[in-house]
Amino acid sequence: MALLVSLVFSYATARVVMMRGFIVLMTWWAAAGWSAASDPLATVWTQLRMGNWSGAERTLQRLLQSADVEQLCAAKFAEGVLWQHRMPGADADRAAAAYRWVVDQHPQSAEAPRALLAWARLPDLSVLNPQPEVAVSRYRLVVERYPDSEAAQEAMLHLALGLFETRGREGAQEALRELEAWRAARPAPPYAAVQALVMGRLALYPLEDYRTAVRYLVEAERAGLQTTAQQAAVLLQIAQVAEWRLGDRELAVEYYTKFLKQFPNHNSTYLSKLALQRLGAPLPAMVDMSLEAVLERGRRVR
Amino acid sequence: MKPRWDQIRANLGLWVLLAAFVAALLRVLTLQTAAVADNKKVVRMVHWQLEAGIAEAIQEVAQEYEKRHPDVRIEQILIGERGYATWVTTRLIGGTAPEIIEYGQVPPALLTQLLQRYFLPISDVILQPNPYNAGTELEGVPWKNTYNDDMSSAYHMDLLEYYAIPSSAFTVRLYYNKPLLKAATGLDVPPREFRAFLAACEQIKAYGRRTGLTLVPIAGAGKYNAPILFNRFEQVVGTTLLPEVDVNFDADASGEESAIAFLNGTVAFDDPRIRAMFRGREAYIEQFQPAFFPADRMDAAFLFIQQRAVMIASGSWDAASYAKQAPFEIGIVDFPLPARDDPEFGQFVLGPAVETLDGGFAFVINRTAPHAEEALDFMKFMTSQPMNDLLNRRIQWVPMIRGNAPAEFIAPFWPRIDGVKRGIWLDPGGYNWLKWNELLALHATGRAGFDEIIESYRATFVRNTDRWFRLDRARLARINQLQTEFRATAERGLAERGAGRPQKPRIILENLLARKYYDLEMTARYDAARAATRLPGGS
Repeated sequence: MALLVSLVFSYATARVVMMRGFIVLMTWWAAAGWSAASDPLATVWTQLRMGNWSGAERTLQRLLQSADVEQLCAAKFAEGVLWQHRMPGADADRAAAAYRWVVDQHPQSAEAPRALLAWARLPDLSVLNPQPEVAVSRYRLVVERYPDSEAAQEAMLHLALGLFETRGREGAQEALRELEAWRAARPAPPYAAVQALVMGRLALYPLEDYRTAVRYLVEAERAGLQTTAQQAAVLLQIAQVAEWRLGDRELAVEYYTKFLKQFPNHNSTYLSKLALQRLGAPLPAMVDMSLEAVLERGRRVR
Repeated sequence: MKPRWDQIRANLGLWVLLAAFVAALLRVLTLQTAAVADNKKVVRMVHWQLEAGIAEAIQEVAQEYEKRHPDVRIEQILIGERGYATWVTTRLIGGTAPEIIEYGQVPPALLTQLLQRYFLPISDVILQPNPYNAGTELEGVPWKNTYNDDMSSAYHMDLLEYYAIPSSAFTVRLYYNKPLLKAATGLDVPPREFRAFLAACEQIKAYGRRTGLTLVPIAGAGKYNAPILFNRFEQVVGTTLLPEVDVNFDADASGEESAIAFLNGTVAFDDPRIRAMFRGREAYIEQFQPAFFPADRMDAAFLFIQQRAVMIASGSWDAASYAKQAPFEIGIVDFPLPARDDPEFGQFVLGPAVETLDGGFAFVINRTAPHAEEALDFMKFMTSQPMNDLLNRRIQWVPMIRGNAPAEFIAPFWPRIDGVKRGIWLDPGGYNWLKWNELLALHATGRAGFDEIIESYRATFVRNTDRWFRLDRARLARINQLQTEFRATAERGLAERGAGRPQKPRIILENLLARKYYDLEMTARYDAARAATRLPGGS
């Protein structure tokens, strides 16, 4: 009898507690269903991003029956991503097959360049058995087959780093030459800033060609890097290389000053101020963040 | 009657279980009834801040909010640090987590997953002004820019979104017992110059001996309070190593660069600056209580509160607790610094140690909770200039909103932006870290001197660094590449379907390439240094 009562109470308690979760879950499913109805591929990408692998697989099963070639290719590409990342390494062959299917069956589809690049990346991204040499030859294939695609722009950057990885200094030299020729043929590409960043860094090391490095880094900075971490690092690299390697006081002062104006609360602020003092240059006008100034501002506010 | 009692006793466990079920059910029903009885939207807020006064301060802000929004009630849930991560995770998965959740305690890898699934990205919201700043100098200013750090510390580097909403900044300083310091040394404030500070410590010891009190200058705990002092000193005397270690000119000394500098002989293990770090460490150790090394944070705090130590190094998060518990007036000062003309350390000192103006005590919004919208609105209210000021004055923490100054007692905790960075990492990689800490334990307990430590550390450095650089680090770098690639692909997929921000894939690509280049550069430099090293085991 006691057992029965316990079970009834357990059930009742669980119902009350679960009610709220259930409502939330239903709302979520409804939202997901609505989103899927509007664009099932968006749903697949959302599911993949959230690590909902089985959900993505189910949604893809429907999409892989599509008669629309572009949608089918997009679904096949997403399927490749699913196999590649669900259990990294375990389903690499299935991922490769999905990417290759897009490239081989529908080479003119919008998804084909991206699928070829994803296939090219596989040997580079292997955790246990990386094969950068294989990846390098595949990147070249992307560039040759789809030279005007955004995937080719990206492939060129991976290629440059791959050359450095596989052939060291000599590879870095070749990478710079190839990227230079590539840029000459395609001015102002969408990845101009990151392209110049890679070139600047390769010129800095292993080539130790400081003047060229600074030229590219200045270019990257002007083209507009996307992340504050890289923006700060590049400004400091230009300033420090100019000061310590090129002896270019004017450039060093310009970039230390720029750094201080752009990143007044950075943990390299003080060192940059010391550098400007060392170079006999004035400090730029900055918001005073000392305790005394903050207390004074606080008094005004109150 | 007797058999009946025996029967009850035999089923006692079952009865207790039943009673527990009934109690639990009643509790749930009571809470549910209370939640709907006044027909208000209940915004629940969970945090682990059990220290004195914090819940009360939040309650004060909540009451102000409820005055303006009578249809909303703010409820706090306090969970101890130990069970916090489990509590939050299970509630989120079960769909019963509160609307507002304090950010942290959860392991980073899990936190990233939870953020993606359950929490509200606020990247677009923070570009709009905070309406609760109307009538202040911050009226019309984007919410993001009302923060001293422009909310930079709230940015999630992996997910490329803002999630957390901080309220306070945290730093570490030296607390001291004002009357006891005065009695022992005649000073009102501990000296800022290192030698004078050590002299004051000697006066304190002498005072203890003279008066028969059990008294030490500084309360230390081997893994908590003591390293605060050691690290500050190391940062200050080691900063001139930075230009030698920083081979990629980014003004930062990384673990990889430090390992390379040791391997290729750019920096010797017995470099005078490293020796100076140990001299500072030894000077501090002499001021701690005997057997400070196995002591924990609470032991050190008791020593200070019970007036058996004159000073203690700790964070601003302890200020309110110390002030509440201590039966004496507390002062707070910055750490002592060797003077430029100090014969031993002066040549290495360029300035005090830098601190970052990062926001902490941050909350995230659970977008799957019923009142996420009201929760976000409450967080805007709590981080408005007047409420951030009120909150931090009550809690005695450093405010993060522009124009707000810390309360007088807490003012010395204001972060120092103008300061020097760490010039080198002495323990790069996990295996070196283990070995180094083993040796530091021997040093702290007086069982090994500097020369013995360095000799022992040198002997294993190459082998330990190899294991880190060529195995763990290399594999971790590849895993990171794979994960970053996945994120870039997924974000691109979403952006192409109009369901994501178009610039995200490019941001991720920039990160991916910069990181890949860094790994390649450091590997190449490491190989070169490794081939030329003269350290034991290098051939």
